[in-house]
Amino acid sequence: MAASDIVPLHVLGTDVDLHVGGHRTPHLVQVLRDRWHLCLRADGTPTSAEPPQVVGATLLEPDAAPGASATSDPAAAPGWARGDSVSDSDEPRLLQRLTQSVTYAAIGARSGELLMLHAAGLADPVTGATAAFVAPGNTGKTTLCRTLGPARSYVSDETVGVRRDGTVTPYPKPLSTRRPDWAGVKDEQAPGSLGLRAPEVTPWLAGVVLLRRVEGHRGAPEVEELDVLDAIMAITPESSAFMRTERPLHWLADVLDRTGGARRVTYGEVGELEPLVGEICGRRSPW
Amino acid sequence: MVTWRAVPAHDELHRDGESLVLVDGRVQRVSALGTAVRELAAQPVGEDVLARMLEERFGAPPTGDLLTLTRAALADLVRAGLLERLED
Repeated sequence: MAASDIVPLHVLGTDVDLHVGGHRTPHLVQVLRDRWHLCLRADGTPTSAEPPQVVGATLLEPDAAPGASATSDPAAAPGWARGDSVSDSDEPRLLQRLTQSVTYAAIGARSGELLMLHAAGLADPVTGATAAFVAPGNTGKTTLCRTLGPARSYVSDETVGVRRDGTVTPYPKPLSTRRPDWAGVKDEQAPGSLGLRAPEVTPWLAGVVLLRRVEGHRGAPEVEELDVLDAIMAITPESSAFMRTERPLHWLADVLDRTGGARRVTYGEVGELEPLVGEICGRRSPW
Repeated sequence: MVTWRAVPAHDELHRDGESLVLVDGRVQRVSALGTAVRELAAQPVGEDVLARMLEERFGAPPTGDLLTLTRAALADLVRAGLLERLED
């Protein structure tokens, strides 16, 4: 494969190469470079001795069925670490599926190493203090990043990966936004187009909040402090591969103890969370 | 003779007498009574002995029979996959 057809990414502290093929390859390469601009490896070289994860991306001819095999599978060549491959004739749908595949590849690569929370992360651009907002899919993480992220560093709208030393490995992926004109398909938007920037200093976890958005909620957000056992019970369903780590319950308890415990916040409009984000991002490091 | 033994956990976190137990990839919150049973059944133990140790720790139950209540707790923990019943 030509180097020009590879989009080299660094996400969640691991390398993932997108191998682009099929219909309109140069166009798709450019689109992917645009959307994933905060995750690109500058010179394309690996950041570690580990071979990169590989995700194939094929834009099929317009009449081809989604998921159909391309004539040559970009992730099928020998010598690559592991491969997943996505093909689709619909570009927005392909981009959405690719984001999911990159996420799976990165999570799989970091399984057992990171505390990976299904969370939005925003950091103070100077100190790196990061607020993690844990929530299931489609319940406000991306909206939070779009609304409150431009004044801060964008860590992720999907997965916040915490190392044992409390530092956070960013995943500033394209923002997946629902569009009413595409039934079921999300629009993958470049973070920069929304005024978001990647962290320039190493982020570290400063606080954990469980988001609970309630349509029509009136008044100020309601904040509930959770005891550590309740917090862990609430957080673990929103974690990835966490149970494969060493002593995961003790790790998460330590994280929560150091960062002041978890809070559950019930809110209606995401703008109301600005003071909370500001408070957490203003903290000093407990690590 | 029937004895009872705590199922080994991948991880177990204790706070204020209660605990979280990770077994088979699932986290469960365990009451103070259940936590005590698992602690006391780290090695196989009979239900009579277990009931007496629970009474020493928590006092006599305010209502009901000690052994009956102990058996109910054991059954709960077995159903949750946190305790196993052993037979000689």
